[in-house]
Amino acid sequence: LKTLGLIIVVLVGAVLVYATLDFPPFGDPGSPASLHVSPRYIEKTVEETAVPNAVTSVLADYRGYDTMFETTVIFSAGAACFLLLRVSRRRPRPPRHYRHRLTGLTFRVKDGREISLPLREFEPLESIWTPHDFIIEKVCRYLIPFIQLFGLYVIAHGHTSPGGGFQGGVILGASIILLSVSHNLRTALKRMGEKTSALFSPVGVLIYAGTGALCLVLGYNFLDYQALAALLPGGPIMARSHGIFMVEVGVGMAVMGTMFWIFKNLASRGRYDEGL
Amino acid sequence: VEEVLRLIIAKYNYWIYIALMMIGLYAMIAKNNLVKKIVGMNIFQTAIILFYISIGVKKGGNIPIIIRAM
Repeated sequence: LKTLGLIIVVLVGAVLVYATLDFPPFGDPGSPASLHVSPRYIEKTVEETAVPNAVTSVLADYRGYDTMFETTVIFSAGAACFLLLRVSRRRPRPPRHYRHRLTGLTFRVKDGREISLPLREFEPLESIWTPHDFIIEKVCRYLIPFIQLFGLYVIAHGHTSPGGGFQGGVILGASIILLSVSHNLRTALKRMGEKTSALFSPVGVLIYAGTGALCLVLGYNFLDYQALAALLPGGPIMARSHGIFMVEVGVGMAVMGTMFWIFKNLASRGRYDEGL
Repeated sequence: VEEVLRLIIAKYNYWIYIALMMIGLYAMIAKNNLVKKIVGMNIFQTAIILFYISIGVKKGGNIPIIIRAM
């Protein structure tokens, strides 16, 4: 198989190298990709949507359908991870042991249940659990709020600077993953539980599709944000800008929920107790 | 000779992407280790991104954010 694979790879490579002879030269401003549709977007985006960032207006307005189904794809990825990996609760689970940090007493908790006392004072005694570094724990604790603030900034400023729902959502999701890496998964689950993150992603998709449906209800095409001028101040062009923002919020929520949803299923093999 | 040089300067980005793509494809076909297959897929993905950037790049271009807007 290795030689066969090598032959196939070399053949594909040779065909592709042959195809590059017809490609535009590197850095050519007159290449076909930048002649037809992109000048129109660059010239008209401010006029039509009041969004200076052409990438955002193409993503969320001119190509709104595409982005809506991209969000749906992200949601289905999270749901697939959940359905494949999540272990059902009914199976009996082994007891857990906790050591109280100050007194050194060991507690045994039956049926894999959570300890009801504050988790910070206890130390789980399990084979896969390793104690966390004090410095990392403290630094991450103070860093995470700022990371989340930056994530919100990126979502909100997708109109005027590079960023938007996907990027901001990834930053928000990563901040929660950082919490579960630097502390443990159970601490992160206390902040963002199973239901919360499983709700965030479909609600994000729903906000996106709902914005589109709202335009439909108001008598315009699906995802034609001009319709929102009836509800929001600022005329039809500002309404498109606001519509893009609503959609970006939906995308951000969906991405954030799905990031953590996938992470916790993969990291703990669907058990949501230990792991990273 | 000059023409060959010009051809190389115009196309070397595409050739790098093809080389990366071949490495990734070979890793996906020939390696038995699943992690190595995924590494191969990542290299393939990187090659595709490099390809998109190579056909999209413009000399003297800038990011498409219009400053005079607001």
